[in-house]
Amino acid sequence: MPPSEVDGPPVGDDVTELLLAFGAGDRQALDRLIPLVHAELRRIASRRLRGEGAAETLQTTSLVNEAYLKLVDTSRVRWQSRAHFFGVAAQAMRHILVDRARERTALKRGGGAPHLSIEAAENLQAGEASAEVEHAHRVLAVHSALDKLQTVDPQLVSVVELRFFAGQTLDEVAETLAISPAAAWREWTAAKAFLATELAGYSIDGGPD
Amino acid sequence: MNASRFALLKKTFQDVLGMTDQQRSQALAKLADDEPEIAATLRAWLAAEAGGAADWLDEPAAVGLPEPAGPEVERQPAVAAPPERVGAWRLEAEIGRGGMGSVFRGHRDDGAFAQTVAVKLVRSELASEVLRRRFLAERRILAGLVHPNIAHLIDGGATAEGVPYLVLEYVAGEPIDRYCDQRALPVAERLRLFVAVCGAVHFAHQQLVLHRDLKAANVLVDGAGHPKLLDFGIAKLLEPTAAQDDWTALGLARPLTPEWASPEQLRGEPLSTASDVYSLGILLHVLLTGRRPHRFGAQSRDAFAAEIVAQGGRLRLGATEAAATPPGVNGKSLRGDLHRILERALAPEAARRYGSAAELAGDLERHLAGLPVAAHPPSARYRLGKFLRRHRAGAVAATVAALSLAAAAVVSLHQARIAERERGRAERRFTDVRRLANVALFDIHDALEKVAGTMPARRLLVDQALRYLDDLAREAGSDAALLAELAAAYERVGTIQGMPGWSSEGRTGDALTSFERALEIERRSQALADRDAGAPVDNSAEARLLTRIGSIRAARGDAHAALTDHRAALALLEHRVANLPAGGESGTATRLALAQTQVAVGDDVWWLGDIAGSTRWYKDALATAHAAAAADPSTAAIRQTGVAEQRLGDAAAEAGDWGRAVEHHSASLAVDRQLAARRLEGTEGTEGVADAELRRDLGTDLSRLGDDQARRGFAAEALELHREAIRFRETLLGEESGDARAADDAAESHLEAAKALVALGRHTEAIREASTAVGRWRGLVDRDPSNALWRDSIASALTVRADAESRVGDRRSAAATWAEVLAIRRRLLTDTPDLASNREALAKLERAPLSRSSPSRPRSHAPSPRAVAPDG
Repeated sequence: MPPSEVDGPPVGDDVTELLLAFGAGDRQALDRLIPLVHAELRRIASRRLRGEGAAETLQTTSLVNEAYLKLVDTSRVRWQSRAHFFGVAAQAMRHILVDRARERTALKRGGGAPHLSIEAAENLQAGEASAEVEHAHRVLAVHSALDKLQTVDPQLVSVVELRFFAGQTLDEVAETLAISPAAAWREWTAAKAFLATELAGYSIDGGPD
Repeated sequence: MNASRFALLKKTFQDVLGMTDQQRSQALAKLADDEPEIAATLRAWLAAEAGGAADWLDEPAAVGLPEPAGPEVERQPAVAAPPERVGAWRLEAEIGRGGMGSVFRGHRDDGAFAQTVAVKLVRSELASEVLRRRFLAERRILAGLVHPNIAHLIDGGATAEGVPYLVLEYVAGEPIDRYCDQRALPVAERLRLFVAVCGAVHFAHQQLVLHRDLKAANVLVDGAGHPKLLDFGIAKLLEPTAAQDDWTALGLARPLTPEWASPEQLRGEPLSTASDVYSLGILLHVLLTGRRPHRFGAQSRDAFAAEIVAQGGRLRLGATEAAATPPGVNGKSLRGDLHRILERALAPEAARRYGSAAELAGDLERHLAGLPVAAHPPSARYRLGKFLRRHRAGAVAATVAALSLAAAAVVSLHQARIAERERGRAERRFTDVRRLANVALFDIHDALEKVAGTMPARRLLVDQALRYLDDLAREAGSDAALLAELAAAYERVGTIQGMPGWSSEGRTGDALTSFERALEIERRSQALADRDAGAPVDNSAEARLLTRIGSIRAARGDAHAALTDHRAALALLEHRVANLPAGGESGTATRLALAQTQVAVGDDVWWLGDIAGSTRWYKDALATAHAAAAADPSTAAIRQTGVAEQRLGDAAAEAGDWGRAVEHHSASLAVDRQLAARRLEGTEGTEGVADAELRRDLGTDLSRLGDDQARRGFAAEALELHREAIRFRETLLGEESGDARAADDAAESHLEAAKALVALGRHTEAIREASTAVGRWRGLVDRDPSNALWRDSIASALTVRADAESRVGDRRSAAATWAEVLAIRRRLLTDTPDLASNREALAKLERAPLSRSSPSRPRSHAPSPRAVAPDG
């Protein structure tokens, strides 16, 4: 018996298997994959997003990468599976950061935690709260705008998740989505324009609110 | 809005972005007629895009959302139950937390000293084997960095759970930029603090340690106003682990702080002291202007680097909307000297920066003293002559200058050729380009090769040279002499690119391409020469190229193809030797070429598993080399006898005949000692062996003899020989950190020393040596994943480590290491089925019973260097 089979399966075997199954066409594998990736990212993120964090622009990317290294046996999966993983991880990061943004806005309001997005962002522009809370409101606003976009242009949602929530560079986004870097740039520019107009209150569903 | 209408909106938006203003308004007008609703939204999008309304989205969401302290902390403990103590240190409060782990304040706990320290504990889930090994290997170097302005490394090790930790001097202070701003320090005081920082960086550079991650957060000023640098060299401990072993293998970017990184660092190129000088420039910029010179936004690191380069190093220092001048700083004082000093420190090209941190400090001190500064406008810096005198920086500048001349000449050539009446001038220019090509590839490269640390310059040279060689090749037509010259130039490029056994960069794929191009052009040239003159063909270049192509194929694991190439070369050379006129220098050269090719064929046969066959070839090679040396006792001929002796010794060792192995290897050592003596006496002319070559050969001889002694059971003697070999080889590696051969050799010696240590029962030291070997080879494989021999070597070194780990009773690590060996060997079998050593090792590994790693089994000697499997 080769030594590798003695000490039990290495960490992350589950995720590797699920990724391989998903890559082979098993759609249900994704349902089991998401909570695993999500839990690991949450665990890492809860430590990473604290402390020296704020200035380190790359930390989100490295966080996702770290989760990948930890969860996936990289000798067994091909790049397509890697792309699947990053797609899943970006969604997870979105949820983690949206939760965090909710906590942040709730803390400032004494725990009331109303659902808010655009109105709150506008209030904040009046100088009501700190930059951090302002940012939290923007993150929530982006989140709601993406929910609207999901049925209309899911790829654009993925671009925003990878770029904004998972912190990938445009080159990495291109690789994950298997599109050219130029296409990634075009998509990202459109996504930004869409979000800017949405957040300014100009909806794709009919003029200014 | 439904999906198809949104798609129309998006597509129109993306199309319109690429249009001129006029096209744009036409398109918008048309859309307003057809689709008024979409047109309205599109205008809003375009306005948002033009105004940068959503550019904040380019910063990852997490950056603005630090985790709130509070309940989450209890819910998710950071380090699963941080230990109360590590080593001799008792941990107290946690004082910081970062990506790699946590920092605790600690005290020495054995009563020996009362000392407050900062203990860096790597997060347990990041505590990979690789990281731990690197910590252990590097901390000795860092412990030597004792300087009043450097928070030095006091201790380090691994906890019982295997979590690596570092113990550093505890600094109670605040980041230098905040320190200056809170006290509203004037420019002069900021500069004095900064000069002290430069002094510390320069000190470390003299100890050959780069900081790699200089930024304000890493420079604290203590209560007494003394700056202290943190994390010196730590970036190297942390980064390469991830960068070389994991990150780049995945195609991911290395973790770094982009806005503090030099363009070369952003591009992932090898770093030098100039990279730290650049980061010091950023720090100075921050201290004087309150902001960093470049904003890292949406782009990739390469694009960010390109942007910085494109700006040409011009800086705007005045206050901006985003950042006012820091308190205490008079914006006017930044004009003139300080502006020029900053531009010089922050020059995008390393060659244009200050040569050292001390030079930067010197200029600032001159400025403070009201003396003229050395930094002067860029135009003057580009003058070729000025830089030729200077070391590495000068060489790069000279290279760039020479190459731009060449490139300009090529361009002129094309233009000139268009006009028939300028034909004569065009031909003169063509000759100029040829001469420049030769000067660049031969003279300049040779000059650079002798200067330590010039690998980046040589790489630049080769890349540029290839560009205009291709131009020349297109113009060459049917000029046989020019074609021969071009073939020589391509061969030269290939040599530099990674011929095994040459001082080069290990890019064997590129080298193979260049050699094949050279061979093709050489054959074209020969065919033309044949037709033109009917003179006897000189096919020595063809033979040499075939030998080299074969050797690269061998290194890439294709021994069959290598054998075909080498046999073709052999046929040409044997024919030439048979038809030699008696005596004459050309005869010596041909005989030497034949001897080299015989050795190469022997090597191929060896890799195909036929040791007896290879011995016959080596004996032929020895005879040929002796014949050459008898006719002309040149350094090259004598050296070739040493090479053949060495291979004979290797083959004897492989066959288990230690006595004969010692005989041949001692003969080889004697040859090289003789050459070293000649060198010392100065009897060698310029054509003699370079010091580096000699060190390399002596390292090889010592290493082989060490192997033989190990096999005869003399482990202590073996260890001594291998340690001496390590000294030669690490010296070489230190001189040329990009040199693949030097790294390979050093790794081999570390591995052999590890084996001797195992035999002596010094297993902990053995694990360390084996780990160093693995690290060196991993670095090489990162640069050239196709090199089968290096991957084979990694598996060998891991095998030794696993053995040592099981012998110290660390069965868990041992099992993990065995699994790694198995994975590497299996993949290698798929990629390179011909590699006999791997096949055999894998076969043994796969049928080996687990009890093989039992720590109690006695062992007389270390495993042989080629048959790397655990003996089962």
